[in-house]
Amino acid sequence: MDLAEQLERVLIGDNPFIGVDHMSQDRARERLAQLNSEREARILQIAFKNGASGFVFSTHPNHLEVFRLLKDQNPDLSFDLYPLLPYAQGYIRTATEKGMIGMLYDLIGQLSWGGKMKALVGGSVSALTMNPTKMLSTFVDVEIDRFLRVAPPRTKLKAVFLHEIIVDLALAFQLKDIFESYISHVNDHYKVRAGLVTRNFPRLIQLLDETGISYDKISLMTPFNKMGFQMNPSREACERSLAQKPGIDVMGMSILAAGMLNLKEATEYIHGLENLRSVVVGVSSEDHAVRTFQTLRNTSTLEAPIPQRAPEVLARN
Amino acid sequence: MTCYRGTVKELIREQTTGAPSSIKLETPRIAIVGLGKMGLLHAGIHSALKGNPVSVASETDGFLSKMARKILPDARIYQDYKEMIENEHDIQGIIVTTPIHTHTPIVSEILRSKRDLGIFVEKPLSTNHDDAKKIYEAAKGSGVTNMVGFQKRFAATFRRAKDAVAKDEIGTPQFFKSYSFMADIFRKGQGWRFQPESGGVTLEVGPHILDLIIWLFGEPMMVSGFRKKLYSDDVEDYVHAAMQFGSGLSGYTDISWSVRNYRLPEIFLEVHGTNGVLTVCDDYVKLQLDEDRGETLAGTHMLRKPELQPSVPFLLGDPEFCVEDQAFLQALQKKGSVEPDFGDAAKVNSLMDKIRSL
Repeated sequence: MDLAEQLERVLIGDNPFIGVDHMSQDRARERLAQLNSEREARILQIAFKNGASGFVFSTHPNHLEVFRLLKDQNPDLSFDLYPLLPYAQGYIRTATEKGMIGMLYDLIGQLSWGGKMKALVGGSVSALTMNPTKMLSTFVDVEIDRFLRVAPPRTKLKAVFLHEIIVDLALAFQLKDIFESYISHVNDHYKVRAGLVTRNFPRLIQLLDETGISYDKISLMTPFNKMGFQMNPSREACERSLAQKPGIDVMGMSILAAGMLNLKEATEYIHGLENLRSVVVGVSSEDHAVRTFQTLRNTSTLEAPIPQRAPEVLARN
Repeated sequence: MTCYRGTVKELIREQTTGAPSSIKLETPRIAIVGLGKMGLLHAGIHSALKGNPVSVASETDGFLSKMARKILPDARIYQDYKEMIENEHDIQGIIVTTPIHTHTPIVSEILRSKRDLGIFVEKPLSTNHDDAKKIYEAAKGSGVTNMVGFQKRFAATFRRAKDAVAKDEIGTPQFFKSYSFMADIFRKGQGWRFQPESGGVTLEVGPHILDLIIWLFGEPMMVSGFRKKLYSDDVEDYVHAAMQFGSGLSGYTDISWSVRNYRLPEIFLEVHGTNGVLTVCDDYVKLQLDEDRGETLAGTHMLRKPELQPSVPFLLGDPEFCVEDQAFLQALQKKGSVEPDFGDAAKVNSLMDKIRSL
């Protein structure tokens, strides 16, 4: 089986669009300075044209404008939506500046009237009853509402991912109820898989096994790369957990190890992971989008690898 | 004394091969005071390392404490930390992650209990040097394990920078420039972070870079500079502090929470020495050496975080938090000391006092 056959889905991620770069904040700033909503919309369309089937995006407010542009420019554009929430950094910043209550007002202010009513009723009831699982469901609905309203009409919601900041905290505390409730809410309400992002993949598998949750209800997103970057407790343990779970829906992220690996190295490694059937990768330019998605969709078109890795010794005196 | 001198890889190997078997057998029981962002982070890591959720905590906020009881029904959640210390006889360590101005009374109360309780306090130790010194001396007198959350010391890039200075790779340091920036405050804020006694950018954003400067070069003998209010009425939003050291080294740092395009808090340090330049931040460490020094050859060496930073037993936040919490647990087990301790943290408070009086 070649890589194109192995990978059922190749998705574009939004990290470069929102200034997230796990190797260099300087690079993130440079890329962000060259980006705007129009360019992001253009890169997305090129990615979809070259084999990306969906967009994994944080609920960052910038994407609202990008979705509006896509809808205006190309109303027939069809791709899959994989929202990832919450956009944690935004909440941390607003909470620091305005306090928790100010942050909630900000969030509610961005909703539709229906969304506001839902948040008011659902949020109030869950706060009054101190029901954390209900609060999480209300929060998910409130976050997704504003993005689904502006997404191009032919897009399709495929999964709703919960950020690792919540998943890994719930995992640390072994909060099985939270996982069960989140998964069942997304399955029942949106009729799609519930997504969980983690940087502690074997531990999450262990906990999910203990809960008895069916793997056909969930998708997992976790780093897989040759360097073992962000694979905890070790690359080997993550590979073992993946190998033991045929049929599991895992999306590999950080496949380029934040740019330390080139596409050739990344694809060779992924090709060796039989149970990895999807990958998500971020691109920051039109050219980068063409090369990346053509390569991932068909290894025969693999050209010279994009040189991204900084050699250990750059120069000698 | 449990002082880690090697790389993060060596430290984690040490923690996960030799000592860790004993960690698994008798992992100290930890209680958390303060269930805010940092409290949850440390509680999460300790829960994961132990394999069981932390079962004792205190949180003064009614909403948070009720929510904690709902989420962790088997845990004992107090609203009064004094009551927690009095009733919980089975704990060996306490992690304090409350607002800065509450650190001194809480740590003093723990020490007054005369129990052999190890104490970890989130940075900075106190709002001022007098209080920091007081609790440092009390902790020293009682002999309990004590540590302060300057986790950057456990980050792979900064650890490599420490090695470079310790091994004289860049020769004698001559001058440095540095900053600690974040893009957080662009209008008037609310709460204790914006009150003059408990807040301001020096206390909130300054501790890590100031600790790193002291860790690398020792305490400065002279500090000059200025503070500016940009958006806040009562506290400084920007600080420029120039320092001179007994060794002849001089340098400066800029600290601000109002710098656009710094999505995450960022620390940067560039040191010029007689044999080259060391540049370090969270993302990389770069060495430009004129001549070979030990095993490090002349030339430019760029080491990025993904190749320096090993996996950790459980990742929550940045990996250095896990390494730091492991170091605290290991010191608790051995009833030993660990760096950075209250003494190290008091030095940071002393430097912050000087900057806050500019």
